[in-house]
Amino acid sequence: MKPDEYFQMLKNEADKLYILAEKARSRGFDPEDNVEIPRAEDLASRVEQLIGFKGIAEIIRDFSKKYDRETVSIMTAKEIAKRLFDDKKKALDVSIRAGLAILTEGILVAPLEGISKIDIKKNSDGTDYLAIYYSGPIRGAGGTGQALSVLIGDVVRQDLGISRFKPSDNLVERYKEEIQIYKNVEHLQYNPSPKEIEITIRNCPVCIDGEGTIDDEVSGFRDLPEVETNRVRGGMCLVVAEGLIQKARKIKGIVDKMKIDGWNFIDDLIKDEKKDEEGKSSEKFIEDIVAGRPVFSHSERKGGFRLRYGRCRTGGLATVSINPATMVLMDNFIAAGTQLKLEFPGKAAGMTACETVEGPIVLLKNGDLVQANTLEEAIKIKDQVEKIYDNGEILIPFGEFLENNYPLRPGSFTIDWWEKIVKSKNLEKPREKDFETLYNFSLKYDVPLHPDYNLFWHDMDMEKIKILRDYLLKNSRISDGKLFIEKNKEIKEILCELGVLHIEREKYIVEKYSKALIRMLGLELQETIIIENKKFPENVTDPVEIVEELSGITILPRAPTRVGARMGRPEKAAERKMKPPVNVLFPIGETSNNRRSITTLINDVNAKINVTMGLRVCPKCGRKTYKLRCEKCGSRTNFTEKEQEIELSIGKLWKEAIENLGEMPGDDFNVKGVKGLISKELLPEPLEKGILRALHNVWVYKDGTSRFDMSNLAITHFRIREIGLNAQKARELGYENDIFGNPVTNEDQICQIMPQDIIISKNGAGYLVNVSRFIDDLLEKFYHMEKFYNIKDERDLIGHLVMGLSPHTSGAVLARIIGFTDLSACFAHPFFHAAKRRNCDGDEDSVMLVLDALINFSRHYLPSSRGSLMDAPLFLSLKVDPREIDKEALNVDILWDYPLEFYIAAMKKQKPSDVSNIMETIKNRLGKENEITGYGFTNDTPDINRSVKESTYKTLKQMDEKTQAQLFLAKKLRAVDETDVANRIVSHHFIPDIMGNMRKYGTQEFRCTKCGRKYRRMPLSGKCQCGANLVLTTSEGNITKYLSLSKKVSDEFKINNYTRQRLLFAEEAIKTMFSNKEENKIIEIKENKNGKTLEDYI
Amino acid sequence: MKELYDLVEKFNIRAKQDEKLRKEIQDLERKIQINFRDNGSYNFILKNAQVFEIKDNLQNPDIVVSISTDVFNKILNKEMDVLSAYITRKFTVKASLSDKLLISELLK
Repeated sequence: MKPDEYFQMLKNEADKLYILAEKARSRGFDPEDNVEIPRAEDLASRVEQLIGFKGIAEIIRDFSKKYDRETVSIMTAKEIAKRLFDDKKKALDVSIRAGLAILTEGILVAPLEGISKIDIKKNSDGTDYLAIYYSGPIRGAGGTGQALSVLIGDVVRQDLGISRFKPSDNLVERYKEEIQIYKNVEHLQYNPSPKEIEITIRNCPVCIDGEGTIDDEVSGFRDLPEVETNRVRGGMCLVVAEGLIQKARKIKGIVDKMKIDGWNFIDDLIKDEKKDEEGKSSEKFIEDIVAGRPVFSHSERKGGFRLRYGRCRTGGLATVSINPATMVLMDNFIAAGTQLKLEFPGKAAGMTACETVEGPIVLLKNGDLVQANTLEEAIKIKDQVEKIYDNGEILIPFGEFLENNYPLRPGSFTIDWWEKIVKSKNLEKPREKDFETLYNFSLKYDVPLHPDYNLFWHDMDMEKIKILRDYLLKNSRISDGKLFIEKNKEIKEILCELGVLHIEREKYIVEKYSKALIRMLGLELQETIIIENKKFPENVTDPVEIVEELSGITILPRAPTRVGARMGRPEKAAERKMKPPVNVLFPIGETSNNRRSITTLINDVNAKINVTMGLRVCPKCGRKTYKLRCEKCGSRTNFTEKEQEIELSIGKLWKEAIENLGEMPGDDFNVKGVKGLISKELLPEPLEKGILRALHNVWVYKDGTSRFDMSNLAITHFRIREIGLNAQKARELGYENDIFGNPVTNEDQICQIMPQDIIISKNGAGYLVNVSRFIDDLLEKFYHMEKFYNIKDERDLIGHLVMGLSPHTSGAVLARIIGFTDLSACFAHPFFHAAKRRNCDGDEDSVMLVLDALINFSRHYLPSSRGSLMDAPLFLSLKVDPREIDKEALNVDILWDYPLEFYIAAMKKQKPSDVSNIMETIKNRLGKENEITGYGFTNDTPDINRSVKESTYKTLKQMDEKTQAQLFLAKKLRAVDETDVANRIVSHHFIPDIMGNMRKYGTQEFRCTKCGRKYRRMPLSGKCQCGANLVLTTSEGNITKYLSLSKKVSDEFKINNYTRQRLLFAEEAIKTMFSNKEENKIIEIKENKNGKTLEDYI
Repeated sequence: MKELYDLVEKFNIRAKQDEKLRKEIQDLERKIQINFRDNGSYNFILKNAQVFEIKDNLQNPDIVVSISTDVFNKILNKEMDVLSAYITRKFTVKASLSDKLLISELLK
């Protein structure tokens, strides 16, 4: 299928669903009679729909023809301000929000909810100034977006003739204090110095203001006339620290380009920046270590992940790959989709399996040193592993370095690279692959030794090489091509560090590397005896140079760069549930049982509940009700902006709903509602929807939709078989040709995935089948229409449309299901993930059936609190346009192999931009005919599902089990310092947890065991309003849960004295607090004689 | 105002040679007034993808550019970027959005 036909097909199919949903909605059972998710064709229309100002789309489209995104945002803001010149406040409001919306691709709610207010205030000299009030959701816009919104404000205020902001000294001091408090309470990516804050606030022409977002207040500079609140303004802190100051360099680029006056202070901020430390190793990735999530390699440690350049077909957009054998031998802690925190090039990455990179080298309990390169090989030996000497390769695409602007590092010397060298010398590579042939080839043509026989010589030192050489001369012999070495502990360690695979019997028996080892050490064979061929070089200390000298050929390091890594978030594939999970947004009140179960309430047909609903009134007959339709005349009622406490006959309502559906649920049927509504209109969902959802085990989210969450992973090419398709089905989906242009005839062919096609987890497929059955029942029994999906099993889902939606955004993206994976992940084209403003570094987001969202989503159900628009599908993008998505997706490299010049540049540690002219990325294809076709990848893998499917972190349930497994692995890994890991776990996780919970214990509340109602103080009655018992919210167990584990870890791993003493202090504090257990245990005030009364407690 | 006439001539040559530009403006007919804050007004008409000066007063011009001679010369000498100059209000344009984009072409 050609790209145009593909996008048209998607649009047509989506249009059909819209028609169907509109028909259902027109029945009048929902808050609006129309579908509430408008279609957005491009960025311009998304921005227009988000901002709600007619005409913006045309302005954006016109400017987009000529200018880049940042310029378009400024020009659009100016144009809007001009059109609204007579109402300056509105002009500022609309233009700044629109400018920010353009910068955030029109799918974030930050322009709406991150800017709470825009005001024109007075300086002390009587002139006007612009104040932008930021709030928490501005975080989603990112530092650059935040800072640019200030810049846009400045440009527009000048157009409107508004003066600059002139802060008082006190106000500047207030900012310094406030940001410091915010940093202590919340997380700031960048901690600005007081000097940086002063430079920014004194000179920024716009006042960065905000509403109080956290309870903490400033203590020094209170009650200033310029600031309405003494509370800390979180949004302001973010924009100043993470926006203007952290992104000063980027802002300077834009200010310089556009020659905007009044922003020279940015230069002072840049001067203050610390010197660039790019390229140096960093321990940052390991700082926030969490118990149960192992470290796989410390920074630059021998034996750590070996950097290999290339892109697997499941790679790019922060997805990197390792051999599945590595996953298994890391005790299954790494599964596909698991997030790894990396030392470089980016902060984190999602993992996939690739069997064409090298696996780990491990020492088995029987003394054999083996390398596992396939899943099966690893599974076979996983219980016999004594030590992991080398983690194997990690395949990182060039695009990751480009995206993060991280200097290239020398990569592992691979066969691909070797072949490039051979080709560059106009040579034919030898047909035979044995060592002698390859060695002689290298000798003759000055080509480096073939990677098949390369060892970790660079991990040695002169002394070790000499010891090994001397030992082999005296204590080894060759027989049947195998090298037999007398046993020796020191030699064993050297062999293992060098990566010389061998088996251990009465002697060490080396097979593959026997001749290589002899040659590289300057020895040779005389029949079965080993003799010296070359003298050991004097005055050479570099191990590789020594071996080059001894062998007479060039050696390129096998693993010149090791990448530090630890486990981040585990992978996820689970249905979206509210806490606690519910089937329907229908309130059942505080006084009912704590299980939110409607079903248990309706045994008595006269059962009643007290709930708060919105007060609505019928415009025709004036009747008051909480319902959407007037019970008397059937007219649509209007919300009066008031709420009402009412007593509902839930039994009667239930009976009506059941009769309406004609559905009689069985005995084990359980519909769960919410305690109370939190939407502005307090409008409940129809009970019928909850009954049908419960019938199909479907849960509802805050906006009426039912979703499935999965970790994101990038894929550019798929093998037909691996995603559960056959050739015929693939052709039906439009995959008529494979990557080589051959017609698709068998399941082993590889096709390039189309931009909006996705491969979902099988668990997700099962849930979406349930949702489809719910929708079919809903259409038939509730809306009295025909069923639509008629899905029998998961396979029938193929070809159906879903929406993808990420947290913090409000723009859903249309997608088509084309297959399934056994993994807990959603594989999709980088464009699709980027369109949701996501990369694949362990992020997860949701999919939902399009028809479910179109019928059941309503803004009227969304909570009235700030930030509620986030993660709600306010519109649907039908087509993904690579020009309108995050540029990260454009930095994905699409070469079939990397050129020799690239490897040379990497050896020289050049910047990625220096070689971007020879490394084709998607960006190079924009505007060309092959913009979305004909991509390449460097590394194939037989099947994307050949991987660990679930991380040990998830399979182990208890924290002590996880921690023990983590430390057990740390002991096995050569690249990991287990004492350091133990130290970090205790000092960064356990001690803060113990101390935090102790603090909480002192300020805790009381909770009802039945209805969950919370009390700040114990009521005089000693019991809850509902009559049930009250318990403390933080128990002794909460505080002490990690204590014994911490002590055990501290003893076993000899953690440092400082941490050990902190732990002792914590233990002492706990002992003091719970010295009399009987008195201080969970306080249960019971009425029966065994319990205590409040008086007893006092 | 020699620089202005040179600019018009340059634009006309470009419009003849650049097929894409010619297509864009082929069907446009616009009355353009350029007010030099320190050097009087000049009137032009864009028609058939060419710009002609007219000596008569313009009634209801479609595009009115207000600019100083200094800024104008700086833009022509590439000392100042036309877009930056517009964003920083070094000159103003009264026109529809598409006509503003047209002016940026003219001043290139």
